[in-house]
Amino acid sequence: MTDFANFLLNGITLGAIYALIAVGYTMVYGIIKLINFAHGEFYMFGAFVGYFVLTGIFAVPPQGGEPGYLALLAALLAAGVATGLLAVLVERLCYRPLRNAGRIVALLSALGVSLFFQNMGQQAVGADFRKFPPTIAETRYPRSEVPLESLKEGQVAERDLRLTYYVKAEDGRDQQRVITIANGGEAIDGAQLATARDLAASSTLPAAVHAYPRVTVSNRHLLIFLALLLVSAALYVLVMRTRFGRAMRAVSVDFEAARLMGINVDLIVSGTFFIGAFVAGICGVLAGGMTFERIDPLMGLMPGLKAFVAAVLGGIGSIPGALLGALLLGVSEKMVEAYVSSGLRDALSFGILILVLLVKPSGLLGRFEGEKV
Amino acid sequence: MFWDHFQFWGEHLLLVGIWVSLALSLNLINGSTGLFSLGHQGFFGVGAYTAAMLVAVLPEKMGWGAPGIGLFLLSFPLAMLTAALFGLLVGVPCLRMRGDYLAIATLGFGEIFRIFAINSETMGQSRGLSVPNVVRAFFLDTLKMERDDARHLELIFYIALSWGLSLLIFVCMRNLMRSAHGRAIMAIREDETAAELLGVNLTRYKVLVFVLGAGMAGLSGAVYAHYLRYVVPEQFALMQGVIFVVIVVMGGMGSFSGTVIATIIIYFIPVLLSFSPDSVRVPVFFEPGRGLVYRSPKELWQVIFSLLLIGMILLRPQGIMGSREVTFGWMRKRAESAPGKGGVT
Repeated sequence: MTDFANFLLNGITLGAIYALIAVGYTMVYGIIKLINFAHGEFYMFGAFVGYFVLTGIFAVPPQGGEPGYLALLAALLAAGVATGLLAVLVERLCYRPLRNAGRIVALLSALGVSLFFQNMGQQAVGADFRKFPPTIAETRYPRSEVPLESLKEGQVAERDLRLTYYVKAEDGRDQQRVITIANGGEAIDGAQLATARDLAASSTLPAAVHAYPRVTVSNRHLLIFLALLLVSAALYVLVMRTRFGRAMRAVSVDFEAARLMGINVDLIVSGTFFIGAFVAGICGVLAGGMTFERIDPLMGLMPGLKAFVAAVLGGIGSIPGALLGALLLGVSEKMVEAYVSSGLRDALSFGILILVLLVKPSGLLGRFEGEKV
Repeated sequence: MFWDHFQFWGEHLLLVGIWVSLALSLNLINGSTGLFSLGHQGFFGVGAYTAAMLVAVLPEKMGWGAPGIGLFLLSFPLAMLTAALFGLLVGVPCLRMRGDYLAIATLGFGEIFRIFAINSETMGQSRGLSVPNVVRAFFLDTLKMERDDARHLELIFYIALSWGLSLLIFVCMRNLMRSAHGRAIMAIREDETAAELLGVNLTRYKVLVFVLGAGMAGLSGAVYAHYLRYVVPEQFALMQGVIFVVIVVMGGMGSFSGTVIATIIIYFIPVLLSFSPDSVRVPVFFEPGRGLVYRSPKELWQVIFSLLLIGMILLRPQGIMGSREVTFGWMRKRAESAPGKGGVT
């Protein structure tokens, strides 16, 4: 049961990551009917902008300390804005001239842009993985503090007991480390307890022992959930309650009629690209950087495809659909990985994709659009 | 000296032949019929894996000893059949989809094949399979040839095989497109709804095109696996398929001669780039804390390829040839209208 809860939690986290990428896909498709293959590369680009802000401006070496939430906020903002501007540029140069040329031609252009970022990225920063700086200390919740002095050798731990202590990292900042004293249900080992006492004594900041239940959630995952909540709320307000949103909806219903009604469609399309890429860029830092902890130029490929599957599953063009599809996909992937086979995980998404396209091409929450002759 | 050059250029000639045959079969699906498939690398892979497993896995499992030339010859029709079967498998469900949805679904099928190969024990997982050199063994052991002669003849054999296959596919395609079936296929590309109203059986032609295209891609795959003597899943990744889609678009959708020209151009750009001297370095990026990053032109081939794709789509979306063909009619016309020949005016 606890295993299941952990898989479910991991699945929801993965789903939230897919959701943050999928909203950009679905918004762009809703407006100009383009499958923007390069969207996964926006996620990659955001992660690298965050990386260069943290290592360049805040001078955090990959094994360095944790500059904290302010640095993270700066990295997120920079990643979002830079990725958004990049997307506006890509749309202006590579998609706008093709707006009347047919969907397949635009799809090929998007494929070209995606390949360009993957290949150029590999040449510019190298094809190898880079470790993302830790930025904020990882904390798992829920937890309760236990005084170190109260622990005795041979005593049976009710829950997992872990010591959090701090050392000076190579850049002089404090870095958090965690060691396990005893797992829940086991007796405390004397040697381990002695080591923990030594480490606590030499810690540069006050050390503490915490008891953790079997199912915990990391503050980094909570950040992703928070980002998803904020993004969903902001998008709802934007699309449903503002002039810009009303214009967006009008353009998605009928591009030409919206133009005739005096809507500046070019501005709406640019704005949509900016918003979608802004969210994908932020997700690149939060997910690719903070959660998976390593980044490389091809990191956008699979999450991009999966997010697209999620968008199709939920009904492409629909924002609530993308969120629902992403969560479903994330949870089912983790379940297949846990109970069937990790190798089949990727095959599952493509199987779902083909099945949805066959059985219900409009997805779970999408509208059916008949063919105009 | 001659044979050294021959080994180098002969191998390129051979690979171009395989590329041409694969591009031609993709052109039937994507170009002539306008069914935009992104999964052709999957059919190619099915053919390659079938051929490889027939000579590398089957004799071992059955305890037959080294595979003979009979098994080698059998592997070609079998690779074609298996790939055609997969074409049927993909073609039937994809009938209901159009445009970008079809592209995505075929992409999904291609990826599923690759993921399956990565996870299958018999298919060698991500290590792939190594294929025994049946042709060389035949030349050496059965025909009792000298080692060097066998090596050269093997290359000549494969060049003839790949270009023979390309020629065969080219002629079949040309004849198909000139027939009533070809006209129906073109009508589907121009306007599916109108074609259906005029009595073209959409289901029949779409499935036919997928089965034909996939079967021919399977044949190319068999040649590829036998010559390279290994198959790994990464050879059949999405990127490989995209190269051929670009070739078809660049040559002009539906133009078979355009496809051949585009294949030769796309194949030889990286070969020519590989001759660039090491002293030529291009700055590509400024990394904070590390300074300028330099790369040599040969490393930049894939970047150039993607720029070529975007540039072509933006500037000449109809490709080099449009849907026209290179013909030799203009020579005849000129000869006829030359003074003293009395050509028809």
